Amino acid sequence: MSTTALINHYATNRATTASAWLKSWLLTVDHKRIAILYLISINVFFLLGGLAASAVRLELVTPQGDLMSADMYNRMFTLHGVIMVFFFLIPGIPSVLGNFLIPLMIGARDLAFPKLNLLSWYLYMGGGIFALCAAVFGGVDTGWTFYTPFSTSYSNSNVVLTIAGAFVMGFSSILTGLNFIITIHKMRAPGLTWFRLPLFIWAHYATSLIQILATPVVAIALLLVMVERIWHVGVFDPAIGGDPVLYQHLFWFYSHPAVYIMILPAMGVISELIATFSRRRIFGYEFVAFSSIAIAILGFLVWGHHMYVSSQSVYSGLVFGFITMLVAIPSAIKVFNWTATLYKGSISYRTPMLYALGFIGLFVIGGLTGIFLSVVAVDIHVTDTYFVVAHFHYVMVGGTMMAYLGGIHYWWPKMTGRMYNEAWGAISALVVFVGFNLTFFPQFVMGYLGMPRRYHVYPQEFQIYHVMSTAGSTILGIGFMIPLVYLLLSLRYGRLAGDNPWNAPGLEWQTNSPPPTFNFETQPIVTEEAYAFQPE
Amino acid sequence: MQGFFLFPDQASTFAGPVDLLYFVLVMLSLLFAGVLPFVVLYLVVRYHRSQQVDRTNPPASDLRLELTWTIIPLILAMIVFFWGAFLYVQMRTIPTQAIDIYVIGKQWMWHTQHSNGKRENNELHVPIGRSVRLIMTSQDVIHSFYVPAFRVKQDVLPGRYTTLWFEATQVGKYHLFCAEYCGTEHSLMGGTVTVMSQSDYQAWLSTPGQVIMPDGTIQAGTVLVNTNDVPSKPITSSSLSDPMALAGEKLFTSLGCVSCHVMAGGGLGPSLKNVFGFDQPLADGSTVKADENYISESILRSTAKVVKGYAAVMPPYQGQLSNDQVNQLLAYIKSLSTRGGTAPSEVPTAAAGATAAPVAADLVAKGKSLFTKIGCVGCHMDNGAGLGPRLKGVYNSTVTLDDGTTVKADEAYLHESIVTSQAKVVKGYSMIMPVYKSQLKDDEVAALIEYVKSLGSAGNQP
Amino acid sequence: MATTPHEHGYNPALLHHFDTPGQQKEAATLGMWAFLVTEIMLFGGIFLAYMVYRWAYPAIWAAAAPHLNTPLATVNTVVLLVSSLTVALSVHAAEMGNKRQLVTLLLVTILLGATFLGIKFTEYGEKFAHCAGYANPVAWMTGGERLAEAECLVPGANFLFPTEVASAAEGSAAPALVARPGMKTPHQLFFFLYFCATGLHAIHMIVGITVMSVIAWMASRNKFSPTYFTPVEIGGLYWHLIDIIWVFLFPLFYLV
Repeated sequence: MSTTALINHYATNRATTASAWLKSWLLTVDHKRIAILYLISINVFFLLGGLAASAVRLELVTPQGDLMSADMYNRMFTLHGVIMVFFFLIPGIPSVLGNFLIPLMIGARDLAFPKLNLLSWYLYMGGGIFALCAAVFGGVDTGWTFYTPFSTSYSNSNVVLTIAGAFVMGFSSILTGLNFIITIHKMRAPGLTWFRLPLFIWAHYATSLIQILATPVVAIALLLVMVERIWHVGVFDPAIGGDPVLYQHLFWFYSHPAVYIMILPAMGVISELIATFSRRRIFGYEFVAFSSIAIAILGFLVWGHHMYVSSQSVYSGLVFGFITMLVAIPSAIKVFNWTATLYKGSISYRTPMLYALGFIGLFVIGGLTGIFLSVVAVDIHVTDTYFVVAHFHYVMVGGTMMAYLGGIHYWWPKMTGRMYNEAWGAISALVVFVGFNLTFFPQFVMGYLGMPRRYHVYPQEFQIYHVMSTAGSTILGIGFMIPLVYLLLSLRYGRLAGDNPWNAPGLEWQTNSPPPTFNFETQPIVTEEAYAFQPE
Repeated sequence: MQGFFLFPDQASTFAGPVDLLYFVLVMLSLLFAGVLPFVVLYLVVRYHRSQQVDRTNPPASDLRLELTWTIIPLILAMIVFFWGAFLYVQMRTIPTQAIDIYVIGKQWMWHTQHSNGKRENNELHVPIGRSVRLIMTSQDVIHSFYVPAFRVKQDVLPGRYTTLWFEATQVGKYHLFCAEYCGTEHSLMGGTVTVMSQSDYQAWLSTPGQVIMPDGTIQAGTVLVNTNDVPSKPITSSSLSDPMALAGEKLFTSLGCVSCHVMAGGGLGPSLKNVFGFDQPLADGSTVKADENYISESILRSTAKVVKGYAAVMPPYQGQLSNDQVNQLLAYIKSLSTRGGTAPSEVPTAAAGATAAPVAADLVAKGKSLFTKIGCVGCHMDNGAGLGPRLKGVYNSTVTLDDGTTVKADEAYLHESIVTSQAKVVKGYSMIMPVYKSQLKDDEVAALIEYVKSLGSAGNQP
Repeated sequence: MATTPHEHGYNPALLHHFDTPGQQKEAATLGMWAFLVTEIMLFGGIFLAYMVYRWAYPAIWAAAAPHLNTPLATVNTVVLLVSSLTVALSVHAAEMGNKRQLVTLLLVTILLGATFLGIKFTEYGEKFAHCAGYANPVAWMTGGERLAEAECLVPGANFLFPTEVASAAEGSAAPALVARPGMKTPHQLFFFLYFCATGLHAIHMIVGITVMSVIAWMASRNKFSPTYFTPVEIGGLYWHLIDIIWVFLFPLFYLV
């Protein structure tokens, strides 16, 4: 179906007044514009979460609690966790890159439910505003995990407001996932069979399955906490026979799959980056595609590994430990396949590739330390210590964040029509890599030595590690700030990118940069496999 | 591994095995995380776009390669899993002869309670070379008892008991941390675990400290002792084992539990003899093992489960008893059961063995005085008209039991009749003799046996 | 959205990002099924909590369930089942292009839904009236008949589960089990779950009625035809879900 008439319509009817311009953004149903809205809001939340982290790391330079009170510190680390998990990592890549690219990659004009997509963004913003209000009104000090009965009966902070924020954001996540699933099922271009899809799509499909199945469970868990907190009676109250550990089960049933919501899209991005910058089809395409699905399925069966010492039975510990070993394997398969893709490739060291290579190194460390944690006998010693903190930062920052940055750089020309400054891109990738390792590697050591997490003050002997960690975090922070500058500058001063600056075969590169409203002049028809690179 | 600066002190039997497993995991990780970057580096250099290399026919996939790098990691993962699983099961299997210490976590301090009544705040003294079991509960939110040097950690929950055990192997002072975020002063909720030699520990146990009285108040500067007529104030003396159980017994009476829970049976509530550790039949036909959690639930939320054959009339005591008082009742109810006991906190020291086995005659005299002092003479009357059988000539005689069987009244039988008196009951008598297991030291029981032996054997009087 | 006329002509309901009406309908239907799965996961959490506590406290569950108004709930079950029938019939009417029948059936469905909510409201009212000390909601409002035996089954500070006092046997000095307000017994768990589960269901019912009202309005404005009645279908799917959830709630809470 021709969209020329519509394109002409939009070309001639551009917004001419400020209010019309504002409406064209705030009432848009164009997936690309919604992606940009997410890009801005997600980065704002990332900055706020980063500020909270800076406060935490600054306090931890000395063993005493001399920078802020214990209460303030507790609110800071909670704010960091809540913002980063709910308002950066979970929406992150799907809402920005997924929203922008999925219709383009499958040759569609938009997602299946464009208005629902806009609603997702408003739900995200609504939830975010609740959380920020909670922070402004004094914060919340329960940790992002909101364990009962502390959160229901003992905390003197804005628990309900914060939880309401996470609750509302959860619906944003569910609707986005729903949208992606239907889009991928029903709106692929003619000829685009499942096994011709880019791996980015497979990754987002698996992610969306998790989003729609897991998020409602945390919604009910959080709802029960809110009810108990407001009406002072509930199913987690031990005084009436309730079980606080039931909350942990309901919470982690979502929150473990949630970490796969965070990493699977990142892995999808890495597949694209490795393919383009090796100019090769990903080795073992089917294995990589199915590994995403396997991770999604197995990820639902391992939540108890967050609860080995919670009073779970020995049998539960063994079962969850066993299945956790299994869920590690598909991730390993991906890493090996990416490495094998480099063989006989034609590799360039552009910024996105630097981030992708960094991802491989850091994700391997993060994933391996996950194995450490799944061994119950070892986990008893290191759970609730900095070992766990280091592990999840390796996978979430060293993994997801690197992929996010790599993806932003890679698709920046497509989204904005401009190229960023390559030299600065490479420099900041390096700074991030160095800063990151200095921040988080000492935390593994500290954790095994026994340094517990969420500690405002600590024994003197751990100070050296904390100092290293804070020094690293300063470098890391700088590494995150630099792209902000040159990416924004590129909007004005960047070289015009053209349709396909990377000479890549994906459908998104077969249209303008930025794409027109309905994405393609004529509907693409797909006749070849994904990653069909022409020899240079 | 010991003293290696990246590892904490190894101070328990778990530390070495856990560290070894961790070390192997580190080595395996170094292998993967070390080799892989080099492979990647090599490939990105060799196949850089500027390099003239053979790029024809790049393989799209290779099933053997895929299977290899799926199966080998799987095998390695299974190896560490099973190794860890065996170690984990050991860490969760509590040895039978463990010393019981009760722990209560609350915002923001730890209370530890030794079974002789002595109590500590944010400290825990334990002996080297003996299994110690911590029976823990929380007064408010979830905490976690963590001793890095022992490599043990266990969440401490409100409304439930959780246990953890360890055997300390190295004398010294070690960090105790709370490892589950619990509010403002979470980071300050810690202290020191002091491991001492067995004799030092014994001495420490006997020195005055804080105790919890049966009414729940705390008294300092005393050690609770066991006598049959406990005055309102404790007597400072050498401690006997498990006065926690005695405190529980006093509470049991003062709260009125004894009026329903008649030990001989037939009361409104079930007898509590041999309840702890045994399966209890419930009204709906199911059974439940009577562990610490069941007992405390039956006290605090008594309507939750009702024993078969009884009506749901027991009032719940939630909010009326402190955690300490519940622990005392627990200790008492455990003492009524053959499965309730663990080793007394008293440690058989070298000193005890050093004193030569007392002369038999001294033992008989001691046993005789105990027989009177404890009150045995009140039931076991010489004229045979008492509530209990006369003991003249009992030793080595053939005794007929209430179920018709006969048994030889040898030393083992005498021992059993004192220590676990409900195990066998003589025909024609009721099962009302108290259990003296938790109230008498081994040498006191031995003395009583010698005394009974001295009353004649096999029907013959001296 | 664009308002300039353009040539896709044959179906005004076809949205611009879809190629064919068939694709649009398939997408809408699959989307609604996916959404229903999320609702099942949502209620799944509450059902899990229910199962955990029922397994832990079977005697409590057996004692508490008879205090719910089973006759009223049975009527409600029948009401909902009939409303699912009218919904299915309305989809059929839409397919046949019978606008009058479609609108009528939708209105009947809404009426039945409102009846369900009314009965639920009465049930809740009964509980709250008992807490206030009155025999029923009407008595509560008019200051009439008071409740004979103190009882308050609404969880909270005043929760009071009536217990039978055992006849004191053989003159024993046993303290009788006298219920006190606020006494913390696990019966509160049952009633908490009851209010949460049925309350969440009632909220979904309100949403369902709203959705059906919108669809009925659309139908009355001739938005549907035999070639396009997707909102009726997927609205019906949602209504069926609400019914199915009740079909599980009813036996779990009332027929213990």
